[in-house]
Amino acid sequence: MKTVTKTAFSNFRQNRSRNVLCGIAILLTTLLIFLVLNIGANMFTIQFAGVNAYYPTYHCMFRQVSQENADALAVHDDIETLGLRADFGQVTGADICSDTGASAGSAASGHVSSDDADIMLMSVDQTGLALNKTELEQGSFPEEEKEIAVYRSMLDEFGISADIGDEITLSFQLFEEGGLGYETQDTFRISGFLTNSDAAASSNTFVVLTSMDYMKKCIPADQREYRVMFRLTDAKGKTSDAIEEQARQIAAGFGINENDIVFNSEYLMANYVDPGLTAGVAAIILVIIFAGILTIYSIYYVSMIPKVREYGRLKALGASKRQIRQIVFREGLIAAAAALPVGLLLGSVISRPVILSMFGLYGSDSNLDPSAKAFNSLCADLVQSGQVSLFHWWIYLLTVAAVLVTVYLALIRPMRIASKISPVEAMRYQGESRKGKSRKGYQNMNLFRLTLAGLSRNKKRTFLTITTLSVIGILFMTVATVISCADPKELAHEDIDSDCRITIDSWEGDKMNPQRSWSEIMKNNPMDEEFMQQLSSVPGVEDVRTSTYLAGELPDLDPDGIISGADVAGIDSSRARELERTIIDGDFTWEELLSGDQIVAKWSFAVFYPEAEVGDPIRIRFDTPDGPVERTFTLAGICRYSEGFSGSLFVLPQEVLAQICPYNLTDTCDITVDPAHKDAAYAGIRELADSSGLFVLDTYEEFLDTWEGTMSFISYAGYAFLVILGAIGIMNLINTMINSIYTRRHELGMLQAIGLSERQLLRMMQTEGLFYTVCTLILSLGIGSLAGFGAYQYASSTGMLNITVFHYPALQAVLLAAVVLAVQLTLTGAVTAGFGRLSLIDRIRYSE
Amino acid sequence: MKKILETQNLVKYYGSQNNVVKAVDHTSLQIEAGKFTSIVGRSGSGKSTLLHMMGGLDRPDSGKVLIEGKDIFSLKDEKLAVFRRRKIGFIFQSYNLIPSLNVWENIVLPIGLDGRKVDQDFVREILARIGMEEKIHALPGTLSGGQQQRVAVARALAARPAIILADEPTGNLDSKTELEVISMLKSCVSEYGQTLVMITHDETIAQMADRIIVIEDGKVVRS
Repeated sequence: MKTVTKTAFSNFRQNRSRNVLCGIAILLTTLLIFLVLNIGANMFTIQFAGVNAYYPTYHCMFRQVSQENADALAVHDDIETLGLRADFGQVTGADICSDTGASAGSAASGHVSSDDADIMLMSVDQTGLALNKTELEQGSFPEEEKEIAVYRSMLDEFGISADIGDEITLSFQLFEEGGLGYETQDTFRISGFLTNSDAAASSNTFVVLTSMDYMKKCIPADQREYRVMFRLTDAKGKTSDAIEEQARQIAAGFGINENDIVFNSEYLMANYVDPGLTAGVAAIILVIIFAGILTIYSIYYVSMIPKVREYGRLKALGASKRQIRQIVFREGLIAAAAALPVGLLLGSVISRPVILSMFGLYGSDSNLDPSAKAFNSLCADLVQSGQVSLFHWWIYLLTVAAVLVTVYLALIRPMRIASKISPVEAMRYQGESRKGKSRKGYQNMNLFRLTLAGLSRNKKRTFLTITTLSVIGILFMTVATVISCADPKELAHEDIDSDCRITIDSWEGDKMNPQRSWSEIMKNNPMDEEFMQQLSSVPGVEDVRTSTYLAGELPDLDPDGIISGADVAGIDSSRARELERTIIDGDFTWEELLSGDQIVAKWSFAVFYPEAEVGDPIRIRFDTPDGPVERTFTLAGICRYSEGFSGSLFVLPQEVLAQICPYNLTDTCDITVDPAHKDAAYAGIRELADSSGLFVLDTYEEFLDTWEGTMSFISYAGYAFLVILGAIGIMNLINTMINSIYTRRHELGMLQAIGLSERQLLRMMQTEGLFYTVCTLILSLGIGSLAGFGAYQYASSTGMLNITVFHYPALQAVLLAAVVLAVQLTLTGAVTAGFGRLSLIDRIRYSE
Repeated sequence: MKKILETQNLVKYYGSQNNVVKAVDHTSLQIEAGKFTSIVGRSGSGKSTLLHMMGGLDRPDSGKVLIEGKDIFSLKDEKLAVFRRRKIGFIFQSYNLIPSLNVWENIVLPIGLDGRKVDQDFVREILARIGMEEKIHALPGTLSGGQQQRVAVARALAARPAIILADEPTGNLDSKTELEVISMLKSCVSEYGQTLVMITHDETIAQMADRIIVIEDGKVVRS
């Protein structure tokens, strides 16, 4: 055994150039695997740590739970901890009590009503407060019956200046069966101030936290409705799906409605395994391992030819097959042992700045809402303060395992070649020899024909080198195509096809906010004639185009309403041609649609309902203020219209939609502004958009900003990944070039003896190198372009990255060609220069 | 007598000061055109080094090699390569055929590298003489040692060089084949009017030459 290891060591030293290249390839493979694993895992770890620091820690919450059920749930076997919260009234006004030192600011009367603010009277027990991560800026939580904790900003809103220990009188209405009760008043002592005062102020929603005792005094036991927040027992190691299923079962046992189950999704996702989550990371790792195997195998295979004679000699001296295999494998292991730690070290050093820059990039995205920004900077803080460790032993272990597997898989075949060959064969081994005994050949020879004959001699080596390089080239072209198709300007236009857009923000099925359902809003739609006139008269506004909207269900296709629902947009005739241009299936005219019995679906409809075909009847049950209205249409066609054209699954002429529901259905205004007066126009539009809490304003610039941020990140990460992968490939090219010259130095010397001049030798080497380059480029650009087009088609059919228009990555293709050509020419130059230092006679003598 | 090749005071030393190997030590000799000269000497006597310098494969430390009166080392490497492929044919002990080329291609390769057109009749004639006309498409790996060396001989002859330098061309062959190859080489050379210089340590073969030069420690001791 000792001899085997010693021989492996001396082989390692002797084959220095091969092992250095192999080592670099292993190092780069290690680096890539480590970075992907570590960054991938840490993005989650950090966000999860952020979630744990930011979000409540309960698993699930049941709403509208009676006192009796709450008591029963508290002792349920499957529930580990349980917290209670009761929202029991709404504050309508506040008064100061002058004898305690509190003072009213602007309010002369001392009583201020809360017309604008939404203030909930709420009590939460100790466990609930802990589960909710409720914190105080100052003071303590209410314990005595008449104590409260409030936001300072709420007092500011009322114009009251008060401190801990001060008393204030609140006017409020208690929740009773069937609605709100009569206004009453009570005086409370402020025991503490709640944190996040500014966030509460910006959303204009405040909370007055009372003691549980006070709530119990106000609300009789049989009328109490709790929100029960709980953590399940033995949840560690469970998947988020399993936790959700268990909670549903508990709910069913207590007759709790499905709509009253709320999962703490952020927390569950952060703490429990999501089975689909690891698939992406695993796929990338597999690509790297594949490239690593191909490269290391290729390096070994190519440099095996001169080594085989040595193995043959060892065999002649009595080494067994097993020993030869061990020598080859150990030599590889020694290279890995040298390269692995360096790769891990390099990866560990690089990880931190990369991860921080990723959070920095997200954090600086101007389009993010403030809470997401705050979350990202919280995550960055967690990393910088060292509260979250970026280094996990299992990532190191996994990387080492993956690299060793790569090296082993790459060495299987070289090990077999070396061990199988007989000593006699080994002495004459020239690589996998040609199958045939003869060759037709040429009557006249020239340099080019000589070069071709040399290349064809080691077809497998030539093929392997070209394949390895091409695989990386193809990957590059595919990624480059996707990136080049994802032009931020186009992507932004996909989201919005005007300069800016005001929409009504409505949503269905929210029992807490039934007023936000579209059928409620349309009864008193703020996008009325007057609004439209105001909008059109804003200086700089050139055009306003409206769309109407109706929400509905698909009772036949989606009876449970879990797939898509049926939202329908009404467009006017000015967009008829645009719609017709996007037809991908079926055929219709605007006039046919106006008849009212045909409907057009978006491309995603075909994804949701693959069995549905053009010509099929589509029954839709519309939600209208007057109750459901059913209509059956014929599916006239499927169109690939953009999100900017309409976000709805179906499109009808506005006239048809108006016949179904006689209310004001306008929900979107697409506004075109005069570029010369853009700023003034935007300011005017923004003012109008702010006039109602129902309006949401989106601008093209905001979408553009988001897409530019996203795409710069994707291209930065994508190209960085490919550059390292490319470096692995280049190791392979270097090895092939060195080998093709050095293993043939005797043969080349002979050629020179019989008349090959130095210049001809250089030309021969260049032609060989050029052959690799041209083949690699043909394959990379040819197959890569096809693969890129495939990726584009996949992206556009699934709506990935909003891609719709194909852009050939011409610049990247030229760049790839230039880099491959430059690398290859430099390599040929360097290798031939090194070879030139050997005197002709040394070359001839070599092997003798 | 017409001398085609001449060495003047040729010197080639290897190694450093304390351990100098005098491979060729102030050697001067003249080779006559159209004759068969054999160079004999013990292993390590410097005969191969001498031959390599005579063929312009190696440059001497000092001294001159004149071929047809021209000092070949006054030529730059590139010119020397061209001069070599036109004037000199080499035959080595290990046949050194190009494994990826067939018999015909191996033979015509030096002509091709020189950019000349192949005289097909002449090559066929040589192939017939070496008894390989049936094997022109065979790859070297499928031939025996004797056959490979015959192809190497044909390769040296085909470009019609004035001088053929052979470095123990039969060293790897059995004695029967050895005689066959040498006889064939000798008859071809005399037929095509070429000059043959051959290194050997086989006394019988040396005796077939018109002239024998004996080398010891890099010096000509008898010629």
